[in-house]
Amino acid sequence: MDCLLCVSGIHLDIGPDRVTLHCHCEIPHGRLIGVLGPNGCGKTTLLKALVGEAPYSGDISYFGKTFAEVKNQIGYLPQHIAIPTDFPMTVEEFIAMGNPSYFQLKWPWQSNKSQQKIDEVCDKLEIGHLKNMQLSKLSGGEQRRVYFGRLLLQDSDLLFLDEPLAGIDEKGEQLIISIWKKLVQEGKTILVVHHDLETVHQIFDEVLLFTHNTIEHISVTEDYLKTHFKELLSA
Amino acid sequence: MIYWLMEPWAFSFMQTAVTMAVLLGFLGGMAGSIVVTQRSALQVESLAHALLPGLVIAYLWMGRSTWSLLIGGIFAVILTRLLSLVFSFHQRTDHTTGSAIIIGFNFSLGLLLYHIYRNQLPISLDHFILGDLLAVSWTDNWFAMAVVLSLFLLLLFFYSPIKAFLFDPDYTARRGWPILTARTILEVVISIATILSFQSVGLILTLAILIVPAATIQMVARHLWQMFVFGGLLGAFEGVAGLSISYYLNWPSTPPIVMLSVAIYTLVLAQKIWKEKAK
Repeated sequence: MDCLLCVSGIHLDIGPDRVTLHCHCEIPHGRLIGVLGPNGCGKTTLLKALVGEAPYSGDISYFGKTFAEVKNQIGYLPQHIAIPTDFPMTVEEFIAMGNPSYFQLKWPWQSNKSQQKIDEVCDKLEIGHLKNMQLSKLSGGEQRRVYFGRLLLQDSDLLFLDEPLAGIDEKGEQLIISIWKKLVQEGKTILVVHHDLETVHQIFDEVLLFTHNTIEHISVTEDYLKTHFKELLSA
Repeated sequence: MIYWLMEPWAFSFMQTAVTMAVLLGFLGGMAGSIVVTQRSALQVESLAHALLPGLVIAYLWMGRSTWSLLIGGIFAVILTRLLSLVFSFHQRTDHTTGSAIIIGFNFSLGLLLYHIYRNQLPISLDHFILGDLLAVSWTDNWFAMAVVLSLFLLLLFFYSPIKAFLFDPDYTARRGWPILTARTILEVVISIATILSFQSVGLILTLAILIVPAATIQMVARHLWQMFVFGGLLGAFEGVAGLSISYYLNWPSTPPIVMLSVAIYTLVLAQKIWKEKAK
């Protein structure tokens, strides 16, 4: 199988303890995968380990390479986003940070030609009217949309999203899910930490399920959910 | 009237002082924007206080010169960083408390060294604490001009990554930009601004020169570059205006600069509150 992300037998620091998570996941290109499990089981810690922000031991490879080699092809939306309330920055400026050439050294007058892409991202996410607003003036849901906008501009092949729909209204949720599905069709793989069990089968075809220090990579069907899923999560 | 307004600038000591006030104001506004957005005012204060022992040692070693300022500054940066490192080991003491302890230690060390070697030092304790803008020379000004221009170009060239780092250091690291480089650039700008300001305005008011113009512009700025540029211009204006006030009223040079900048800050704050209430 064309393995985009391979994770096997990793040890993570969850709370005060180092926990061994038994798993062997081989995730190919073009998948939308939910990450589910009870509170405190290590979903966020796993995502942080996958983006190099939490210590771990074990085997993780991306496109057959190490994290350091593919850093720029990975996008991450953290669970908690803290926007400094007094930092002068517009939404447009913030999204521009996602431009792949943003961190290349240049004088400010040397254009990076990203305006058209920023406009496209804003249109996709229906946040064009927010472009000139100060970031700190946005609501929680708008902030999450804008953060996702920055990630979209980054154009990463592998996305890790930690509860990206928190605080977003139903219309916004549908819009973002439809964007995920389009990205997946383009060959990108997205891992999403998700909590709402009622909507799992509508969004994802497969999930990484945390139970008893084991991560199972399973397919999701409505029947399966009805019979086993809630039981597994409460275990 | 014009003659009255132009009168102070006929004196060479006022010409050198106003040039330095403009340069320090501009540098202060720029560096202050970094300090304000990073919320690291207390760390800058601890650095300013570490300059007291640093300069006492440097003056004893090589007399009073631009080089002694540099050596004293390097000592201060190293001392402050080492102490911060000690506090960050355990993480039992938060950043603010740690900085407050370092400020106390640095100042006490400086006072002690000054007391022991006071007869061998070329300047008085008053000079260390209050500075003397009117005592600067054209050599000091040329040196400051070269430094300000270099730092301005440095910030201009690294503007995008620095903006990203100031806003979201984790994201900057995630995108593969070396955090240590960003941190070092900012530390260099802040340290040099502090060292230069210290020489002219003294230990106590250095922080005000750095913070107040930037904090004033922050209330109305929509972009970080506006804080850098307009914070610098406001700082320069306040330098010239404050120095003029000090001349006409025969006051010490620095306090009017700081008082004026605090007055402007208060006015902008009041206008902002009034505008928000009117909505």
